[in-house]
Amino acid sequence: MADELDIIRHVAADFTPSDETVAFARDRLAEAMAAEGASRRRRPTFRLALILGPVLIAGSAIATIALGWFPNPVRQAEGTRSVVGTPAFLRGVSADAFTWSAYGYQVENGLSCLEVVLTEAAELVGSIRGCDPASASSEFSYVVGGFETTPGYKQVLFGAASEAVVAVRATSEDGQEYEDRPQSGVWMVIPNTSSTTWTIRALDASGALIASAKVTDGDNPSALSRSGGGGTHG
Amino acid sequence: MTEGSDIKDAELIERARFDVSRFTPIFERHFSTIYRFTARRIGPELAKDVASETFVVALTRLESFNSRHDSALPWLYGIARNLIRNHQRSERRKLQFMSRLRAQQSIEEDTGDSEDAVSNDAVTGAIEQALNSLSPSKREALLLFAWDDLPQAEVARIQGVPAATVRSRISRARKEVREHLARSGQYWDESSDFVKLEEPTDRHGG
Repeated sequence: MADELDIIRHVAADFTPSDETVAFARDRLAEAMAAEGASRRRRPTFRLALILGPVLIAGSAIATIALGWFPNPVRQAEGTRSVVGTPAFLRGVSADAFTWSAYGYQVENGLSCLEVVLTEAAELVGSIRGCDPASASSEFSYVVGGFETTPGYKQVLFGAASEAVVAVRATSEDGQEYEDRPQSGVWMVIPNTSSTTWTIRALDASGALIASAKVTDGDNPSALSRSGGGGTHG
Repeated sequence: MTEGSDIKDAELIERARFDVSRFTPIFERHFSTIYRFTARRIGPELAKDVASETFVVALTRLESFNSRHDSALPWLYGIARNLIRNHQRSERRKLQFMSRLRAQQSIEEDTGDSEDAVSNDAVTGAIEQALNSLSPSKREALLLFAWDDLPQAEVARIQGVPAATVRSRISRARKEVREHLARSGQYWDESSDFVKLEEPTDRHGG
């Protein structure tokens, strides 16, 4: 006798892709691989201006944990091992079951990096980072990236901010607006939309615009130095 | 055998981050499965695009793969699932189930076997009604389990909920389908068990 599960299974069509369908998909992937391969070869050093003062002050107590979290293969491939003792937790933001944690650290070749680590129920999903020479200066920097997770694409916007920056406002192309007040020199927005294009504005205490930038997630992933996720930087 | 057939998906994806050609075995291993998954939900024509797009998206988001998992399949299911959702949102279409019986019906109509075709149509309609009456989360859990043969733990990963929630969803979905089919009167035996379905004549070759 069949039960309802047998009936449901019984009616499932066993679609097998035709040779033409497989060839179509293979060609499409080959084109994407050519573009992605070229894009990755052109990947520049990520130019993220960091304000490292607060980085080295805050959170050194959990530096050991941070070192353990940073995926080493990418770092080694780029020849930029982190300098022991410099990673510092800066701030964290939780949304749903996910937690985004920002760390700052220096690497051996003199770059200063900001890295955001995404965890789901204490399990590492991935991280996004940007590094730039310590001598670089800017009022704020910005990164847009994200991770494909089981509930969907999880996007994060973050960056460094100088003391002059009191608020950072991110506006998506579909008009959604988010505002964050930097903590420990880091601003971070976890949007409820995965809009690809964002306008980011840094504001001073009077609400005046200090600087702004338009950044796109996904169109140019090669511009992002990361150990997980995808996106672009400004 | 494809290149790297003895290498786990996670290792291939890690290598693909530095050499995208390493992604090819992932496509060769899983394209048919992802195509089947999408075709059953949105039909073979649209599945051609969505399944191929799944691998393009995966390629550009290699870093989003959680390397703690050996198999890339749940990750690919997740991408395909989102693409299907986006497609359904943009097209504002109701989920269409592509059943074996519907596919078979078209063949039988072509061959003039109209009696079987009518019978098959009734079965297909009842099943589709039952499945469409479920909430999206319960329907998805049930079909991932029944159609895609995924263990409940993997369904849980794809849906982003605890395994206990998936067990509950599948159990409730089965109960609702059973009740729906019972109300339809076509598949309910007086002895409170389902009548045995005739084995399908698999003339469409899968």
